[in-house]
Amino acid sequence: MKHRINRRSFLEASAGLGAAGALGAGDAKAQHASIDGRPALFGFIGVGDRGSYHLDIALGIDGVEVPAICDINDEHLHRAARWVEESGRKPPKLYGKTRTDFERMCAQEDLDCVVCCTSWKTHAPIMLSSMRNGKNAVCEVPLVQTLEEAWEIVDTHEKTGKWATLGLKIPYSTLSNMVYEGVLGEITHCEGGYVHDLRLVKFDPEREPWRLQPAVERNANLYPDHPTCALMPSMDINHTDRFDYLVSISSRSVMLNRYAELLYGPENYYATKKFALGDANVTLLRTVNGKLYTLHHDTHTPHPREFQRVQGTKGILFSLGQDLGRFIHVDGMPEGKWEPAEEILKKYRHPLDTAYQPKRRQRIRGHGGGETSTPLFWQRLVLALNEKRMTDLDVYDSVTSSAIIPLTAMSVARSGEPVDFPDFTNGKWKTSARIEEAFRKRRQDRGGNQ
Amino acid sequence: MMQTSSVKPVRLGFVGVGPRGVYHLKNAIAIPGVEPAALCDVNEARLQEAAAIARAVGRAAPRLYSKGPTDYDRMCAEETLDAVICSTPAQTHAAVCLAANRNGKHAAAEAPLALTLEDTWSLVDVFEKTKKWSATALQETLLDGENGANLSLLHLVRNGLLGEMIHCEDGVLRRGRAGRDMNPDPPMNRLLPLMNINRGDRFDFMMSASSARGYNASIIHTAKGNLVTLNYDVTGPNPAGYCRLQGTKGVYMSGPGLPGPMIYIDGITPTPHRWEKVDPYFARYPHPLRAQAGNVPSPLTWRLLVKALREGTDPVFDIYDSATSSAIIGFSRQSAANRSKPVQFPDFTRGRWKERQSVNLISA
Repeated sequence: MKHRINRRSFLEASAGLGAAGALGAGDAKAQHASIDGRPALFGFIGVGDRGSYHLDIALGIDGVEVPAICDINDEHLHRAARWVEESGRKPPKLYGKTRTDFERMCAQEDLDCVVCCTSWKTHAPIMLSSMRNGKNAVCEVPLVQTLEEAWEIVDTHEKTGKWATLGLKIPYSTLSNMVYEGVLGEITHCEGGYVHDLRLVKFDPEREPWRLQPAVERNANLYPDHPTCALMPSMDINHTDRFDYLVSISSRSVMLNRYAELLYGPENYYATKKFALGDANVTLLRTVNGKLYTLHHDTHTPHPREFQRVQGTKGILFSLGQDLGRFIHVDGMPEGKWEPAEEILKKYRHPLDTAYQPKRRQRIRGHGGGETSTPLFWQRLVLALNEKRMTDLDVYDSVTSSAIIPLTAMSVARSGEPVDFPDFTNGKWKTSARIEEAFRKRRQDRGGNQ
Repeated sequence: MMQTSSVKPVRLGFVGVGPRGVYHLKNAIAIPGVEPAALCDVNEARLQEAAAIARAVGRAAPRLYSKGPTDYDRMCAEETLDAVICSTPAQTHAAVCLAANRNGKHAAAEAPLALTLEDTWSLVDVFEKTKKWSATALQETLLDGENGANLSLLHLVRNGLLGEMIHCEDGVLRRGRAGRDMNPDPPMNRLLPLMNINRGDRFDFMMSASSARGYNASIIHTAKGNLVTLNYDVTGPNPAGYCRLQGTKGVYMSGPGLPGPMIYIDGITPTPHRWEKVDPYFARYPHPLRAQAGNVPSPLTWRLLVKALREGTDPVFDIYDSATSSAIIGFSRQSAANRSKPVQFPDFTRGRWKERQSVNLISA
């Protein structure tokens, strides 16, 4: 690999080491990225709303270099290039002449990690191209659209030793910590969903011009990853348990027709166009060990955002959406009473969150931005690259979460017939340690550092 | 108590006078014109206690039946009654109701109406032959539940505030006696009228899964393409369940920890994507029956049941609703035992769901 150490970041990184040492190894590395003492090389594919957010985070981390960027949208591409230069880094090489120009980038560039924030259908091809060209890759959700893609990602990972994951998420949370500590007892049922009224987004061609089309084409849970990645660690999926099968069914589809008519009148193409996607989709997933997971997808009906419910043998945590708060009931509380959960959630804040004290930086731009410090999940990504290991959310967990899309499509198409969930781990789920257990063991091995 | 001659007496026979039966007996005798003409129970002591309650309000002594577990047959054959009120264990509901119908009496039973599909069809068939109905018309969720909120909710829905229902999640999540059969009636009592099931729509098929620890979740798909997510768990540490009713124009939710039911209505709720309390809407659309409630001692459920018997109409939650609800028990078990394979609902209305009108309590 050819690379030049960025002198500025090298000096800052060296100067920061003393102070950062007190925060633990993880935090020291949050301040700068390095692999074998050299900068970490990132290539960005897709730098629209969300991609520009991740790019801006990366540019705020010393030791990150961005030698290449790819986007089919020239405006986005040149904005991204400008941001890189404004950060004091050398101008990146630009790709995006065609829809498959990412392949040229993956073949030609020297990169440690590809960051993919394109539209859904190109995620898996970009992941595969990255691994085949010797690069690791992280992707915005969802990782795959088909089961074939899911298996191909697993196979390519096992063959090349490179990984492609939803590593812009981390499996650790207050919830996973609390569940591991046994506050709720053994988990019996989880419920969550992507319940988010996206009618406006779907009809906003400026922002995500591809976002409406999946609703035209496919009747399934199109977006399972946010709720599922948040809940999988609590259900020990792929880590001592696994999804066995699912059944899924959708409601009729009326909301998008009505919305198009409301916005553009009854003559509008979409006012009468038949949409495949039912307005509400519900899926039941059962695990081999008998846990149950109810998963919702509803992006068309009017409602405040989602809710989440986690039930164990000793207690239940219930989140009713962003403005109503979270409630808990555990054995020992007065029968029939819920209590606000904030205090107990504070108590079980994940040790990673507690230890993570990033320095202030410029406000992060892009979709989801606004933070004034590097978010923890990017620190974890940088750390994984530094330690030459897979992201915390690994290949198997990533494909499992996204495979819900094709699996629900199959069940919906067969009027709710059960569909077996593939075992992407090929039996390794039986011996793979629980997420929080592995985390604690690793921390112990490092003498307390995370 | 004085009876006004203008009130047509309603003669009732009570089968099963344990705590639930006595509860119903007390509700019944508090309504003018209701006569507890006969009581039946296998337990002589309970029977005498119930008889004492009936006599205490100055009514003629009820005739008592306690000769074994099927003495209700004799009661149904010998007595002149408008209806039988059945509060026996769940296994005998269907048999008691059938005996009542075959002897020319209506029957109101505690839920569930029946435990097998065969019994359920028998009850539907005997109704269609005799026009004597059986129903779980004692279930109070819709008319009296949540301090009247469900009745007000039905009124909001009838006024179009939530649009058409498209996905309703409801259930029974409350610590109770484990090992009992599922009881879908409490949620179905409000969901079926809200979703116009058996009245313009009907349940088409369902899938169900149970966790190893007893949590059961089902999805029901309707002929029109609407969904129900139904939760049932009496083994877990549940203080109370929750419901979430999603319509095409808005959503309603009642759940744990909330200061009361919440609502969100597209274009009407002042802050986009923020819940608000439903109370102002209830105040703006007062349900006439709720306004009349006043200090009447009996639940509205009981008063409307007596009214239906007096006027010869079907109860609000009728034979088809009761059959639909109780059928869920077996279908859920069947699906859950078979990797959640979908189970088709029979059409208990035999096609009449297409023409049957929505529950309208305003004219009631």
